[in-house]
Amino acid sequence: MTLPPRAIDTEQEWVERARDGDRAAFEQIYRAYSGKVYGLCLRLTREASIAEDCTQETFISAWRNLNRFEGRSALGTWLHRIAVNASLARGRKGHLEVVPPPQDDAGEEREPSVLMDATPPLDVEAAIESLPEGARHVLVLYGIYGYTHEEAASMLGIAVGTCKAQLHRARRLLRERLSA
Amino acid sequence: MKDELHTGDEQDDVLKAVGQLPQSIEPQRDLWPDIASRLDALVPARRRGLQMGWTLALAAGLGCVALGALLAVGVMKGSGSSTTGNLTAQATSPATTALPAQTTAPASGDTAQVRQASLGGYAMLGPEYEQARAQLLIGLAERLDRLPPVERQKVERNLNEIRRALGELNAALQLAPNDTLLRELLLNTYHDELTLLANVNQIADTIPSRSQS
Repeated sequence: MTLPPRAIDTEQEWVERARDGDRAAFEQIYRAYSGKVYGLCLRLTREASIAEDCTQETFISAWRNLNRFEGRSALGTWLHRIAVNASLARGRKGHLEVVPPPQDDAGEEREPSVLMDATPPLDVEAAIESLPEGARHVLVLYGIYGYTHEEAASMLGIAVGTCKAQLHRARRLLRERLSA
Repeated sequence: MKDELHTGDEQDDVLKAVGQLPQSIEPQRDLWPDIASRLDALVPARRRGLQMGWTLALAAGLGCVALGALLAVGVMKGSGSSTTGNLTAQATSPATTALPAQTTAPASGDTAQVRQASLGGYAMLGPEYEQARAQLLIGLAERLDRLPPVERQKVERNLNEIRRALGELNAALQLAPNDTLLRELLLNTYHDELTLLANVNQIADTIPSRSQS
């Protein structure tokens, strides 16, 4: 994410003030990044209410750990890492299992229902939603949020090779579904 | 993270379409009020923690006063001195407790340097305390030898753990000398070491040495 110099200055000020306990500064950080954090959580979890929980967890965890943010990565990247962890943690707890990939009676994956917010273009978003979890996670981080394979693999706790394989799979499945 | 497509992906229609999706999706409701209320719940806890920290640090300091006196008594016992009673009374005198960061047993005779025990700066023990501790440690091997093997292993493991923690805390305090939590942890760890040594001393005194048995 590239921010203009002034925005970066402002962001650093927010972080420094928030570290000192300035709630208003932290709210500015929330306002600036809540959409991107929520968007990522929603695409990873596919469920609005879980994504809201994960977004809250992300910002609360960020508030608690601001002293650990060293500025080596962009603030948005740092928040995204927390958001991915929060979303994966919800998945590990089984919360994601309540929203299985849509399938018809024969076990074949069917046209996806719209669980997510109606964000155009709906067909691509819905097709991503229908992807298997591993492929979807990689595609979201790589394709939408622009992370490299190394970054995405690190966030997801998988090997870079696995990340590339999952992307290949995601592209193939997505192409099939979009052309169907 | 970057906003443009990855190099080489421009020819891939699927990735191109995916890359055009908005990164930001606004939640259907404003989540800030919920976050703010949860942060409100955190702040008093943090303040309570800070106050508790000072309370604990003070308590640990006072505990060190008592334990330091106990240690001095233990050393006196080990050296066969007959002034234990006097030492105990003097070590808890108001003059000593007025300085919670220090534990001082009044000096007299040839055991003066052993009885002097004080906690100096937060990151290092005072020289008198170091000397008293060193004296205590001289007899530690012999006292440990009196313990049953299982107990001895436990004590040695705990001592190693405490010393590793002390080393790490002192190293961390060199980087952040004003960190209240680290100072508190260091004081507590010294407290733990003193407690453990005092316990070993007390238990070993109840067990006859192998040469006596």
